[in-house]
Amino acid sequence: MKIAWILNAVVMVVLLVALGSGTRSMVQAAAHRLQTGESLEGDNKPAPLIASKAEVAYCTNELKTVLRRVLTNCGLIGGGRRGCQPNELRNVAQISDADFNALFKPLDKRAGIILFDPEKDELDPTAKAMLEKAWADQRGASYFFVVARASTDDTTERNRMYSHKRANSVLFFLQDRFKDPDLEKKLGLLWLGEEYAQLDEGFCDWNLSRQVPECQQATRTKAEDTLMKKQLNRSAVISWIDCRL
Amino acid sequence: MSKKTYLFLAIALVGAGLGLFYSGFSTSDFVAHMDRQLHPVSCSLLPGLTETTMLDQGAEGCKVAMFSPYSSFWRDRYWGGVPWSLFAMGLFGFALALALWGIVSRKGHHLSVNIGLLAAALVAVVASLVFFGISVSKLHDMCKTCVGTYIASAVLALGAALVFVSSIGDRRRAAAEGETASGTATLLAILVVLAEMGVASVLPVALFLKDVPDYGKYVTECGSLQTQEDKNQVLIPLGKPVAGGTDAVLVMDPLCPACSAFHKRILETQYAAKMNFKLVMLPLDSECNWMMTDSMHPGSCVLAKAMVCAKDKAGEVLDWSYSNLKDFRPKDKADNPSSRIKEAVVKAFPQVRDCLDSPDTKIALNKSLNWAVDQSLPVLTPQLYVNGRRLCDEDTDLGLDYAMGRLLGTK
Repeated sequence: MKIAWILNAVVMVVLLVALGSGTRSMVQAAAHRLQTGESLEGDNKPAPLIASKAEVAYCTNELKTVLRRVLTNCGLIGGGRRGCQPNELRNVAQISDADFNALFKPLDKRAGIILFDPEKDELDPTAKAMLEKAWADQRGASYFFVVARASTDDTTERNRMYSHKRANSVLFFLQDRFKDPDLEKKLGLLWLGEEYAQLDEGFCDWNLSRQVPECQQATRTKAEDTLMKKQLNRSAVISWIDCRL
Repeated sequence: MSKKTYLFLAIALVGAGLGLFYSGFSTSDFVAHMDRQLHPVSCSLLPGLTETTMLDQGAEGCKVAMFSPYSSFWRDRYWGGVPWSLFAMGLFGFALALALWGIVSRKGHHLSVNIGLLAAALVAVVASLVFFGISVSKLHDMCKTCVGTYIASAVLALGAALVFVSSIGDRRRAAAEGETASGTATLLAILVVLAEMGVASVLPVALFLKDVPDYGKYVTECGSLQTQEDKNQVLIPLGKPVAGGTDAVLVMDPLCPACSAFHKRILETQYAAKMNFKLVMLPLDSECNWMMTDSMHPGSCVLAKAMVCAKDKAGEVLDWSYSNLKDFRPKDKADNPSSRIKEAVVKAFPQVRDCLDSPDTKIALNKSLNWAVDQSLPVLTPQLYVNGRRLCDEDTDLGLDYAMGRLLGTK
């Protein structure tokens, strides 16, 4: 009987040692991985993506440089005025008309062109609808640009005034419609009059607030071509810019 | 001791061995997760013999059981708590050793062995019935490794009962041959065996508690909100406000299964009743979220917009979405369920119909996403910020109660 109980003690001690060492080794291994960050499967967890503003392919250094210059000198960045006079914009942007327009070309799918009647600055219903839709489609963009122009029909001074008023029409509509307290921090207004970066037929393919019949024609007379350009430039190009500036 | 008793002891031995095998795997899986990482789980009647992967759908039942609050106790005191399977390991180990000793020493017919095996079997069967009931009524899923333990308990109980019955005759024969122990000696032997059962059951738990690391420094180091200000009113209140409650911000995607499970878990904790939950939507769907190159949960933008439209009923839309997750999953790689989800949400919540595609709704959702940008949040869901401090991703399941107590400052 004595031997039986000695045997019992041996069996139980073996059991307790096995259970104890098994438990401790499992816990200690987990504690080691916890402290060292080692992975049981040998793979390392990738760092998570951090939420950030958009930065898309068209955000070239050239575009960002020009936009930064414009934003710094015409308002937005660091406070100050909003808007640039056409004659100062050329100096601010420090690039030619053609290069200025070319920088904006990749925005064709994102941007819209609001067209105005001659000598007018009122937004028609389709323009308002386009503006509403465009403003609501901010996504990860930081700045909304409004680049207003005028055709060459009138005097330079009057055309400056038209383009300025058209830019303001866009601003006032957005302020009135969305009552966004941060709107002025996001909006950049440029009015170019007739003097700088006039739009050409290449912008016929953009999202226009109304039809320009001459844009649809495969061939145009010189008069039709002039008419088309005048319509395209009685306008305000609107677009969110998906770049971190 | 008769041959029958040997045979029945062998049955009890097999039952106890199986129980130790399955509870050992359960414990091993549980303890492996104490490094706050995710690992594959052994979920099979033949654990260790089949390859395990993180994406194994067959392991879902075991994951559900392991991450549920029923797999361990003292979760608020220790990270993950103390797994019940540790007791099972000790108990089955004891039964295994006792049956083995009964066979080797030829004392298996002794009352102390009979009582010891019956006591172990009784505890194992009662525990198995309780956990089986929880699986059926609370978890609605079955863990195969747990089923293995239930079977082992039944085999052990069968063996123990048969040993007990068979031993009656053995003891009579021994008494006739003059081999009887005194009443005191028998009682003492029973007490020794029961004490061994107690020690064997408790020892793994005691050693576990001795070695368990201090997680306090880990659970409060996962960042915080840059500001708790909500100037654009993007935070959606969930549930009724609690006077003096702690502010908690949930960052969720309405189509994210992990969010659904986490939401359920957090509401089940003892802390939920003391918190004012607010929700920020972070749909992981490229339709509205520019941070996603591919949609992880296509269609979640539609549901996020529906929540904006539902205003104070946003929580109802979220619950409804979580209860329909399976229907809203893409059927294949080419399937975009957005239009299907839109139809369903308009049918369930007709009041959102005209609001769903309005510019104002789009802007409100965008403000929610930009709130995440302003706070430099990780682009993942779910996230929980308690008093502005982030609950670590590693603590959203097993370590939830422990971490919540630390974040709330109650521990």
